[in-house]
Order: sequence, then structure tokens, then C-alpha cells
Amino acid sequence: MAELSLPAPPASRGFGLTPWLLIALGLASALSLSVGAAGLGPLRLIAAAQGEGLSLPEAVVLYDIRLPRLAMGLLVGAALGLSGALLQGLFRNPLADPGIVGVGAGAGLGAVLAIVLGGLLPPAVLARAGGHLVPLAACLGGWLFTVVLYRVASSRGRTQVATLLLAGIALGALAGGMTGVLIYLADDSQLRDLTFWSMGSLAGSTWTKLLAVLPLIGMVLVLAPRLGRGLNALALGEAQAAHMGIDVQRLKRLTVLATALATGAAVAVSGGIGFVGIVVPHLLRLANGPDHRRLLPQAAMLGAMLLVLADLVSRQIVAPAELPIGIITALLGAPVFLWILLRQAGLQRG
Amino acid sequence: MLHIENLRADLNGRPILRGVTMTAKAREVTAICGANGAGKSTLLRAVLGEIPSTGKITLNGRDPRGQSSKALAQTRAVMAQDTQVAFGFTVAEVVSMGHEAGSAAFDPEVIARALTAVGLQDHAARPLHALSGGERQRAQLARALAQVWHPIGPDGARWLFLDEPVSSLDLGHQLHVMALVRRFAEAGGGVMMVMHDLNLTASVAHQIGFVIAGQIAAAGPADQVLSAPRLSQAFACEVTLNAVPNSGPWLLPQCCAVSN
Repeated sequence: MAELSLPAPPASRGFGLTPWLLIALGLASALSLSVGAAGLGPLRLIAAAQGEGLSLPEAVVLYDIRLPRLAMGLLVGAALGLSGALLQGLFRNPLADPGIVGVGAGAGLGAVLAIVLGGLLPPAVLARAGGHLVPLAACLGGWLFTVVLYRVASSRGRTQVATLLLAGIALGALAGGMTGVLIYLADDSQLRDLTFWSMGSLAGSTWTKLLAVLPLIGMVLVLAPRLGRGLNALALGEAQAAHMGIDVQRLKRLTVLATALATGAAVAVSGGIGFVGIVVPHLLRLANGPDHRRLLPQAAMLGAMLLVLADLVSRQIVAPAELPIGIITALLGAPVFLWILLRQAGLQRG
Repeated sequence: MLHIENLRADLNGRPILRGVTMTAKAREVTAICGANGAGKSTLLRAVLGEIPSTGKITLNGRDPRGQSSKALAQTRAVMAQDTQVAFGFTVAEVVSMGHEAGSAAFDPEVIARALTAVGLQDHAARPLHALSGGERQRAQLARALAQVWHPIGPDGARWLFLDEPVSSLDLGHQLHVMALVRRFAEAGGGVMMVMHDLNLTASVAHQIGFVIAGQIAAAGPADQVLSAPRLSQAFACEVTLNAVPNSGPWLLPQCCAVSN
């Protein structure tokens, strides 16, 4: 064999997008804080920041309405973006969105169970769980459905798209049926809770609700970036990932756990906001390649930005009323989902 | 050294390997040959720990079944028959994954040299799924090579395990890949590979383990293992054997019994 001549090392796709995402996230947040029904505009906020002080009603609008809503949008958006990227990594398929394959429905079932049957728990447990009960139950439901989905749709580390989507439909129907039974059993006050919860909105965000999900989403934000190298290797299949030094069983358990925590927390506080988990990782892969070490943190950032902007639109487009935010994410996300599906079908046909 | 003694493995409750004993040495290329369904790939998978097995396996003196995958990844690299890569990972990214698995320090030059070694240096930035079957196979070989780039590691020889590494390659690339494998062994590494092309194998391998019905029927240099009666028995074919000077045995299948 001839002497090897060395080409320049291939250019690696760096973290170049991250600073831009952070800037965009900051701008979206500032915009979200300075737009709303009360006349508290950007100029007034800048003046307040320079020490002019806010009037009492203005302070209430800022600190008790807009700030918790923004913070909730950032957290839930980050959780939704991440849960999509994680689930897709686990199933090695860009179509695996928690909302589409039934994980979100499982989390929803957990939340409804907690709302309707939570009162049956011993009072001591109930008092201890407090506002964490619904998010924890949602995480548990999400976890259970992810485990079942994985057992059904994945064999020997390979996933058939059709099986994945059909299993998602079946799990969604199962969760829907059980939720229906629970709604039938619910009393008036529980029905009111359920209705508010199922509207899929950030409108009712409070600091209390935020604190209930912050530890769950915080855990995912810390855990997820550590899964990057493992999920990259998993793209080559389970056996190959193991030969490349990955503890595959541990990776799968942690990924399922992180997905369930993120989905459960998001569903518990915001109902069903769909398609963020599919749009966000897809756009990032197009712009920046599929490396999960970049994709996971950036999916949290772009998810947060997208949800804050979608919330802004939902507040403004039919003001003074509000359009449910799930409508906006669905209008944005469903075409992207179809597009990926068509491309995959095209690849399979050759 | 890779030593296997009385290895047994079942698949779906059916015994596939029945008391396999053989030794593969570092600085040598060991090929596993045999008919379809004889148990070649099962033997490789059992040695790699992909399926449960009983009996003795030692790689560089230690049983790989008790070692962590992280430790093993620094000693051996594996190229499977058909590896599908999800998402749009580029050739260079996939080769980098191999390199990162095998060594603590990342050296971009290893990626470039591994790609050059398999002739894919101009395809580094292409997504793997856009490549032809043969190019994909060479990219996977580059990934495995990058994982065990230095054939001798702190714990002794590093190993390449290859399952039919040339099955999608044209004649020129088959020879090129065999030369690479041979050079890896000459530099101190160990190679165990499942092969179908007996003539190609005979020209490259120091040792052939010939599997018939889940057992090693013979192991040794090609001219001892590839005998006309053994090949006829294994493949249900008439085979004429010749010798090529400076190369070894060369065989020509005559005709096969075809049942209606």
C-alpha cells in the first residue's frame, strides 16, 4: 500500500449555534415580558430597570403574571424540546415525539389519576406531596408508557417506524379510554381542575406551580447532556454501542427516566402542548448535525425559545382573548412531522 | 492471545456451538470459515459476549465476559455485518465515535488517517446513509480501525473482530482491505474475521478455523485446513484444489448437487 498522505482533519461542526440561540432566547424573553394586555410596554420596563420604580399594579403584572409565565414557558419549552430529542435518540428515529407515540398520553393519564383519585391517598401523604403530586404522577405515567412502548416497538435495539407509531396510537387510545372513565368518576370541583389542566396553556402559571416542577425539569437539564455520547453510539445499534464502550442498559434506563421526567413535568403544568419535541430537534439537526452532545443542550434552548414565542402569539393574536398555545404548536409542528415522514418513506423506497 | 476452550452457545433453545476450542494469536490474522448456518457468526458473537455462552474465553489473559464494556472498548473493536446508522451522522463523525471509544485523548489526525486508509478521505463530510453499500462498509472499517488505531495498547495487543468485512466490496477494495488487516496484524494487533471467500482468505489468513456444524473441524494454515474432502463435505460441492506459488491453495468449485 502506498504511503498515506494526510488530508486536513475534517472540519468538526462546533458549538457555533449555541451563542446565537442564547441571544435569541434572551430577546424572546424580553419581548415576552414587555408585551401584554396591561399597558406595561418595553419603554416603561427599561425605565423601571433604571430605577424609576413601578407602580403597584405594574409590579403585580410584572412579578405575579408575566415573570412566572415567562419562567414557566422557558422551563416547559426546554422540557418539551429535550424530551423529543431524548426519545428520538432512544428509538433511533426522528419521528419519536412524546406527544405522538403515547408518552404524553401516559403522563396525562397519571396527572388525571392524581387529580381525581389523589383524595383517596392517606392525608399525611397528601399533605407531604402537596403541589408535587400531579407532576410526580404524570412522570410516573410517562415512565410506565415509555417502558411499555419500548418493549413493544423495539426488538434487539431496532425500531420499526410503523410499529412505533401504531403502538403510540394504541397507547394513546388506552390512556384516552382510562382518562374518560376517570372524568366520568370525577366530582364538580375535580372536573373544574381537569378542564383547566387539559386546556394546554401557560395562562395559569404561578410561582407555586413553577416550584412544583422546577426540581423535575432541573434534574433533566443536568442529566440529559451526560447522555450525549451514549446516544450518539446508540445510533449505530445496541450491540455496536456496547462494543464502543457504552453501558447500554444504563443508558436506556437513564434516557427513559429523563424523558418521563421532562414529559411528565411539562404535561402536569401545561396539559398537552404537542409537536415542540419534533420540530425543535429536527431544525437543529438540519442546521447543526445530529451530534447529541450539541443537540441536547440546544434542544432545551430552542424549545424554550419556541414556546415563549408561541405563548406570545397565543396571547396577542386574538387579544383580549387567548388562543390555546397547543393550537399554535400543532399548526407549526404537524407539517414538519409529515415532511419527515415523507422523507423517511422516500428513503425507504430508495 | 485469544483462547477459546469448550465453548458452547445456544440460539432460541437450539444448540449452535458445541465445544469449540481454538486459539488466535496476536500478530496473526485468524479467519473463521464454513458453510451458511455452520455457526461462524454465532462463534464471533459468543466471543464478543453478544450472546450468552459457557466454556472458557480469554482475551489477553482475561475473560471478556466479566469486563466492563468501557474497558473492552479500549482493547478490541468490532465491525458487524450490516450496521445501520440512524440520523444524518457524517462519515467523519462516525469514525470519530470509534476513536473516542478507544482512547482517552482525541487526536483528529487519527480520523484523517483512518479515512485515508480506507480511501474515504474525500467523503468525510458526507452523511453515512448517502454512501453506497461498499463505501458504508469501508466507513465502518475506518471506525473500527480508529478505535484500535495503535495495535499495541497498555494491556497487550489490541484486536479487530470483523464479520464478513469485504462482503460488499469490489475486487480492488477487497484486496486493499485485506492488506490493511494484514498490516494491522504485522504491527502487533490481533485479527479475527468471519470470511466467505476461501481463495481471498487463503491468501491473507495465517490461520483458518473451519467450522462444520458448530464445531471447529480443523484449525491451522490454509494449505492444511482447505482439503478437497473437507470442502466437499462442508459445502456439498465438488472442489478442485490447486496451489499458487508464494500464495497457498487455490480452489475451483466444479459443480454442486442441486435437488429439485
